[in-house]
Amino acid sequence: MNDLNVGAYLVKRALLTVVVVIGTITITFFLSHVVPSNPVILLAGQNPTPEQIARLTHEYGLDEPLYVQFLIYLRQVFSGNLGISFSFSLQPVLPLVLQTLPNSMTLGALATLLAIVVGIPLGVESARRTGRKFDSLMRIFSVSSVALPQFWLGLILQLIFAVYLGILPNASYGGSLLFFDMHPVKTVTGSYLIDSLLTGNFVTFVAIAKSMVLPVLTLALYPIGLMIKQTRSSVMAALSQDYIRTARAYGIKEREVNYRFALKNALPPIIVTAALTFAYSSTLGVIYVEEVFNLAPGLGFLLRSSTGTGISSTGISGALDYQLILGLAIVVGIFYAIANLVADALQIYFDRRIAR
Amino acid sequence: MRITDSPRSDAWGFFRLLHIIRVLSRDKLFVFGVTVVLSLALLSIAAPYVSPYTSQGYGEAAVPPPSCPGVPTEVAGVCPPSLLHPLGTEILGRDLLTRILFGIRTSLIIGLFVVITATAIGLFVGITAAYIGGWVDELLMRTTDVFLSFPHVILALVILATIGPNFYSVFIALGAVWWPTFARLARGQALSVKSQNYILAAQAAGVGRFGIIFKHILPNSIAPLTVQMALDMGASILAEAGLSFLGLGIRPPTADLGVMVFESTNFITTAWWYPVFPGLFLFLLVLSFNLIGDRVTQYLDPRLAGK
Repeated sequence: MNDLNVGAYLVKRALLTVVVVIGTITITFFLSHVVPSNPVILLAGQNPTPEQIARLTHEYGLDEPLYVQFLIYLRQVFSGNLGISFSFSLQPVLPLVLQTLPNSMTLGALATLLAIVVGIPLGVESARRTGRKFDSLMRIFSVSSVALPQFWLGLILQLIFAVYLGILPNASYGGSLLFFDMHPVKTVTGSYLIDSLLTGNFVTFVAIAKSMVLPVLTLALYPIGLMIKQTRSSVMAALSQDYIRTARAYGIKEREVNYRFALKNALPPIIVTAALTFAYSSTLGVIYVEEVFNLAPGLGFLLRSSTGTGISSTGISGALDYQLILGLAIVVGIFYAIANLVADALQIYFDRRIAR
Repeated sequence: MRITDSPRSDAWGFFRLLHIIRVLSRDKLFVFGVTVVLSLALLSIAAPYVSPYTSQGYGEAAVPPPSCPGVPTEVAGVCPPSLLHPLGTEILGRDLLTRILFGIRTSLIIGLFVVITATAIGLFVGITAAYIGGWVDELLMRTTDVFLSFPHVILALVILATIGPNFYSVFIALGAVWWPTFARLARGQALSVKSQNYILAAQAAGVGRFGIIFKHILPNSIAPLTVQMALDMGASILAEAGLSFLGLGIRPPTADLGVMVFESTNFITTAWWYPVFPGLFLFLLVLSFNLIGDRVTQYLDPRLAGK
């Protein structure tokens, strides 16, 4: 086993990632051309003449054969051009999505962290007590957490903690839509929570952190269940190995056997779960949560605006912002692909045998 | 029994099924899941015939809206649970229980369609890949990988944005993205069936390609997919509700649990029953399907459960 193998393996995985990304783009492209949705009509403005439409159609290459259009599209995407957004005063899509990503990623990262901190110990305990009350409780919890609609869970938490107990803010960063008018945060990373901390704005930081408690809880419950399930099954597999029996025979403390020996060897699949949890929570999960808690800007807010159901001052209300949706899908696809790649790399770091 | 018949045709399979049902009927969680699914399904099927508010279930607004003293005027029509409306009423003054039962109908119909579509596509892709092999296998399975490494719902969302949200697009969109897991399972199963002796015997007896695929490989590949179907019923119902919640799925006036939860978001401070009940039923329905799938998986593969 040498580093050459690891390198070759990683290169292979990276190539596969590129294939997945191109596949994603191909799917989105062909989807967008299955149905004759005509972006030109939107671009041309009100009451366009046939000549205007013909000119714009030619300008955007929409009269070329499909494969030529596909090549043009591929070149555009790889040069970072994902088109322009109709609902955000014709701004380019890519910067629009990238600007909102830090806030969504902060939520996703906190949820993942919570899932790791809570889920792994519960999973290990569950594996130790297979078949007992605690284990079956955890089992019911993880099956339930998968079945809980996140958008509903968010509402219920709001109902309990904001409406009835009144101890946490109901919605929006900082607790009110006008919060940032009163407490401006200088943009460093684009994430409100991190920026307020970096600029030493502690009052704002606390207010933002408080308003993120319920969203993060909502986002984390499903990953916690997932983490318990994954940890339980891989720790259980590790616990039945001979070296564990040997360790016990040597009189090593039970706690150390469980956490230092069994958990360490059970880590690779858990890491994959964590990476995918992060990808899920920062993209799809966050869409529902941002919607319920009215958190903006973020991916959920963008999606809301792009479907024509959201509030956007400059948007054509009720119209689909197609380029924005496709752009979102591509960015999410790339996000997932990178998360998978990172998971692979981490897995190898913990278990070199995988690269063989 | 002719030599070219596959072994499924003997009575053994039937007794095995009986045995599985007997063992699982002692499992409380499994029984809970089956009971809830069956009763919700029956209730929702019966809803149009027994509910006093059938027209509201189909989308008609209550005229005049029910009046309830003590409720602020801006939420007129949204009344707390009472004898006439056991779960309260909603934004257009309609009976919430009726709307929920009709919503469960929508969920179940879409869940069934999605799972059946996905299974059909998955079987087709998986069996083709396994039977033909070579570069066809390679191409189909790499395509499956691309679909698998991409979040289902985002893709469904793009499809819905393309074809426009309505009842039919929802299951077209979800069916079109749901098949990869089934394709993988079907391929694995078809590969193991392909090398069985009775297939060789059938080939030797001169049964044609399609005869082998339809009479032997297909029937023997379906069984293991049924557990996945139960699990995916829950997941696809949840996905559908989520898409509808985002305004990309079912549109009013069709009753839908996701839409109801979305409509209730404005009433969180004034009408607790409105957000609580639709979501609760959605949760129960999905949970029950997942419990059934989980228990059957555990029964079929006890290694996952430990002892």
